[in-house]
Amino acid sequence: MGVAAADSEFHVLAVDDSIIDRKLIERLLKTSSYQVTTVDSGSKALEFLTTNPNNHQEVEVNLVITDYCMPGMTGYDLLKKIKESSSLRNIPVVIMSSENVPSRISRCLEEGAEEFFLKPVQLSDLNKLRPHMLKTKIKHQKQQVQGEAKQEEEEEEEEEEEKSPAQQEQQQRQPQQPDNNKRKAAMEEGLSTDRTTRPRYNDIATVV
Amino acid sequence: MVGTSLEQQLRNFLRSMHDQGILDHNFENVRRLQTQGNPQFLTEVITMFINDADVSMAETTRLMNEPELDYETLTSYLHQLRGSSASIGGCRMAVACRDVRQAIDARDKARCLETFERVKQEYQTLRSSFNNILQCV
Repeated sequence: MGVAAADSEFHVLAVDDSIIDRKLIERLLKTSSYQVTTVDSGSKALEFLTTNPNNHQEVEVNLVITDYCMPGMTGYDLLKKIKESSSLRNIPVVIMSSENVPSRISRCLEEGAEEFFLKPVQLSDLNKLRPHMLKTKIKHQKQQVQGEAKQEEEEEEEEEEEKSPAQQEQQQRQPQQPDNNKRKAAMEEGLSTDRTTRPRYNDIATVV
Repeated sequence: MVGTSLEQQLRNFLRSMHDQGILDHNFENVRRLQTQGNPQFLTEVITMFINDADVSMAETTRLMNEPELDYETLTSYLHQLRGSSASIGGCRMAVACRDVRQAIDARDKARCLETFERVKQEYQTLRSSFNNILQCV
C-alpha cells in the first residue's frame, strides 16, 4: 500500500467498547467513504497508532473517533495520551458520548478534541470530520516541502564553505530567502494553535 | 392478488412501533445504513443487539436479586443497556434504563428494583418487536 492520494482516502480509527456502537460507527464511516479500523479499547487504539509494519512509515491514521465512557482508559485519557505524544499529537481526535455533560464537553475541547458528538451519532455529524482530516494532510505536505527546502539550504551552506571569502561576501548581500520561509512557518504554527483553543459546540441537543 | 407484501407488512409494523414510541428515528437511521452492498446489515445489528442485551439483562437480573446491590457493576450494565438500546432506536427501553441509573446513583434499592421491572417489560416488548421485524427483512 502506497501513500494515500490527495483527499479521497482517509483512514479513521474508531474506538468504542460497545460492540453495537462499533458496528454502527463503522458502517457510518464506510458510508461516508472512509477507510475504517475499529478497536474496543483505548490501549488497543494506542497500540494500533504506534505500530510500524513497514519500518519507514506508521500506519497512517487521519482521525481518531472515540467513545468517552470506556472501562480502563477513557476516551479522555486516550485524547490526552495522543496530544502528549510528539508523533501522534497532530492526529485530530473526536469524542462521542451518550451523556450531555457540559463540563465533560469543555474538558475534552480544552484538551484538544476537534469535535464532541452526542450519541447516537448521525451521518450528518460525520460531515464535520473531513475539514479536520484535510487540514492535517495539507500540514503534512507543507512539512514535507519545508523539510526539502531545509535540506537544500543545508546543501547550499556546505557549498559556501568551499568558496573564497570574496565570493561569500557577495552572496550575503542577496535577499535572505531561507529566513522568510522560517518566519512564514512560525506564523502558520501560531495560526494552527489558535484553532484548538477555541471551544466549539456543535448542534448539541439535550439527550433525555 | 397476493395478500399484503412482506415489505408492506414491515412498513405497517414499523409505523405502529413508532406510534407507540417503542422505536424512534434512530431505528430508521440504522435501517437506512443497509444498502445493496450489505443486505444483511440490519439483521446483523438487530441480532447483535439481542444477543448482547440478553446477556446484560440476565446478569443485571442476577445482580438485582442479591441481598446487597453491587451498585458499581450495575451502573456499568445499565450504561451498556441504555447505550445500545438508544443506538438502535429502542427509546422506551433507553428511558427505562435511565430511570434505573438514577435509582442506582441515589443508592435506593427499592427504586432500583421497581425501575428495573420496567426495563424488563420494555426489553420483552422490544425483543419481540425485533423478532417480528427479522421475519420481514
